[in-house]
Amino acid sequence: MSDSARVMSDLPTVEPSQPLVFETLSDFGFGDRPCPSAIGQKLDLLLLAIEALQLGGTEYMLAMTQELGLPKIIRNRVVLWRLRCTNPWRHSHSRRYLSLDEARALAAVLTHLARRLTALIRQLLLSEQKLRQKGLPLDNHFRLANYLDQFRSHFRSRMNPRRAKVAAYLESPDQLNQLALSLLNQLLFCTGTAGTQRLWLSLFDGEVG
Amino acid sequence: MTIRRQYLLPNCNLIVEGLSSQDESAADRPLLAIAINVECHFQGRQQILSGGKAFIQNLTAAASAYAQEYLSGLPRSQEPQTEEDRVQIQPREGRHCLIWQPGSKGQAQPVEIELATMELFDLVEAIDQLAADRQTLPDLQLSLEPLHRRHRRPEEPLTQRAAPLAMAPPG
Repeated sequence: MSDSARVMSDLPTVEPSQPLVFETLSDFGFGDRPCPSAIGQKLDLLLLAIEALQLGGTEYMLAMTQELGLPKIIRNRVVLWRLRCTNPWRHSHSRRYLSLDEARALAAVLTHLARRLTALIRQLLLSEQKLRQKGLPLDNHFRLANYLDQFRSHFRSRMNPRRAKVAAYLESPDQLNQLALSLLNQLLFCTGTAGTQRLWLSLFDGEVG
Repeated sequence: MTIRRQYLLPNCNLIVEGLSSQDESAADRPLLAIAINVECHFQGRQQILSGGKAFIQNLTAAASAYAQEYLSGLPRSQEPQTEEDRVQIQPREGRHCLIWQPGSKGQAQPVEIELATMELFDLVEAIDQLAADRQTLPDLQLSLEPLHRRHRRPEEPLTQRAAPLAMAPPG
């Protein structure tokens, strides 16, 4: 081993007190209080939209937690699933709330994944815009139809039909498509330079004070 | 020294021209400290929005606040702006109407441009890139706070609560 390598290896490992990606995500005065359930719901639905865009979405989410230095918060697939089950619409709703750091971690993972999917998100939204201008049905575009199918399928299999709002969506494929498109539009804003900060701020709109 | 910086997105091109402070002019990428002229072009449209410091401040405030409104679905009252070059963005039938009042009120007819969501996003992204650029207009601040809970709407379907603007046929 060279001298320089030995010196490097002797240095104590100093880990930052919190992941770098959290630095710009304020607590908005929440401190140690848990996040409102609407935040868990919105984050889970946006992650559901990412899964509908990308086969194997959960694997990509877990890989992203490693990249962002978040494995202490999202240790494995089960923890990720438990955090997502804070969405009150879920079959397996956990009846717990996200901590601020858990919400920060989910927001960071989803916005960084959305950024990687920027080209696809833009392509799908542009196709939707053109189909509507021509008055054509959305399933005329294979990739867009595939996204909507996947989203409806994930929603059906994971959400609890005994919740009135979930039941209303399940009864109307059009409404469910609209929800999928609305989430896709929101993902577009997550892809930007300040996407994580913008999403984070929006989660707390109407929740502080 | 006059400097020109450009923030180019597929649908929006934001160009900032300004002056560097003298002591910075020799640096590799000098500080553009004072805006002289700012232009905002949208792809495929002839109308160019332009102005000085007040214009870029007002455009930044309006686009940033509207983007947050779009993401959360809760309307924000737009920040008070200087009299000159006022900018507003409002939802209109699934699109986003940008209204710019050139100069002072009454000097000229307001200009309206209807933006599709992708165009709106590219405008917001150009502004975020400018705000993140510490060598250009460092005084330009994006300061937003979440809305108080009194602004929350009664329970309603998420498609309405989360993104009402996305629900109508987009342009």
